[in-house]
Amino acid sequence: MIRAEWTKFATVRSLPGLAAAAVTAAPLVALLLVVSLPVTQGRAVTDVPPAEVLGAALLGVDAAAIVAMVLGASVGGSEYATGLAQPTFLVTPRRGRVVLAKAVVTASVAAAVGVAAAVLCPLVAQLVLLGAGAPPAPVDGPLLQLAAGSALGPVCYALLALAAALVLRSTGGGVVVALAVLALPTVTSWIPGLAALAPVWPGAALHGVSGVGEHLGPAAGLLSLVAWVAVGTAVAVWRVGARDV
Amino acid sequence: MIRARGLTKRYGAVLAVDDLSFDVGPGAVTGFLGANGAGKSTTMRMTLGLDAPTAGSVTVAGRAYRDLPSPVREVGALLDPRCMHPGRSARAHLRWMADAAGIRRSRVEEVLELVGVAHVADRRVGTFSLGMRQRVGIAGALLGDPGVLLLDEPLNGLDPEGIRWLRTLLRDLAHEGRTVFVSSHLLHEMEQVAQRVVVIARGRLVDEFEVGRAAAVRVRPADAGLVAALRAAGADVTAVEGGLEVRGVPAHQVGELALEHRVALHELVERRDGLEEAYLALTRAGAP
Repeated sequence: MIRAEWTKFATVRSLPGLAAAAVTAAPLVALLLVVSLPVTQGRAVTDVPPAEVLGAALLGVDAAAIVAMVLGASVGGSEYATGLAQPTFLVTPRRGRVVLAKAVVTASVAAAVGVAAAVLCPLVAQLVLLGAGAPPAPVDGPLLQLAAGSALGPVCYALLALAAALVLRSTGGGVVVALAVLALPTVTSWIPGLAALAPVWPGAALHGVSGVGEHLGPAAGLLSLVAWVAVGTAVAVWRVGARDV
Repeated sequence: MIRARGLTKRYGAVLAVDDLSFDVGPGAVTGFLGANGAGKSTTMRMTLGLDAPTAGSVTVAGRAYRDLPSPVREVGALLDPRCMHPGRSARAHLRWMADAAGIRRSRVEEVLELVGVAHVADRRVGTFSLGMRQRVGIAGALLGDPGVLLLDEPLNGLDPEGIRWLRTLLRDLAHEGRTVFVSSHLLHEMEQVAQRVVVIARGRLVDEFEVGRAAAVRVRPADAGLVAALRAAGADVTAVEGGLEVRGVPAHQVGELALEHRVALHELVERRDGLEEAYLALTRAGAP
């Protein structure tokens, strides 16, 4: 089953193309962020602590996460957009297995994207530091934790986009829902009553896992991420299984 | 073997399929006839577990489709040939199906050959004509070498050569003892390929009958003794210009009765109703 979904992923141009785009986007955005540090922070790159430079560069992984969102949503939404869902569920009438296989393939690809991005982004920052004549940042525990936590971002948002696309039967719908989950923490923080929701969002959980959490520690963060993905996937399994194709 | 009992599907206020019961047996091509919107596709989708019936049940190969342990090996289906990813090649489309069903990939090459698309198997399906997609869809239906086949309007888009090819293929599959259930609105084509037909209108069963059954036997001369003997044998006899029209008794029995009564027959002709006439008469009779 997983092999079948992998075959589907690998035999159209757009999906591997999106994965490649995600890996490419991350270091480019990282480069942009690092090079623009003098503008955003008002000091030269050499004056910013190297660890902070790398932290800024790791925000490039967020760009990979947004492309991974589109990828996850496409894996689910293209079944319905092209009518492929019909043969898919004829071959595998136990539809939950299809949803889970899609989740495994999406998670694997997004994890590869996340790891590649989390390696390339700090690398870009180190090269910029070296180029500016500054000493490179030490590769220590906190940096590795930050990179590992960042790498989980594409996985989490790709899986949420996949689940939403399957529930809504639409690639666009999947992207919109996943983007909303990404952006809502910022919106709710402006609304006094909703600010209490801050620790609930996957963003807070990712910060927790990365070791820079304001609300959650690494363990609670990981638990929260698993819960988000599990609930999203469970809703997708239920909706896809219960309704007419 | 397909078995529907009281099958019903309601979409809001619309009753698409209404208390439909029928059997489709093995060893024959069974046509599924009905006007557009009569409920043919909905019936097929329920049979294949894609849509859930509002009431009633339908089994295929003895079970509800969703309960089949290995559906592709038992039931081959072609619904809408447009339902493929246009960016994927024909070969890749069949490969993921084989992967999902646990069927060896060399079988993909076999069915590509069988349906005559092997030479373009690496072209993207989006570049194919409807007829080519039908062939790819039929290849998918045959992938698991199933004993039951359900094909929804498989003749659409096929060129004359393709129609002839499919006719032979369907007959061969039925001769091998498979259950072949084919919906179509092309009555003349169905007449040539189907041995039996199930006719529905507005979601209801109108009739099931053998194709090409004798509608009547024409006999000359109109001998009074023969008329009495035929009526005694249960035939419905009417006098027509210089002869008799006999219904309800096959031609050979008419001949035997004539011999018994020492009537020299000048004419003994079986007249068959065309499928089109039969279908139109049935659906007209069913109209409110």
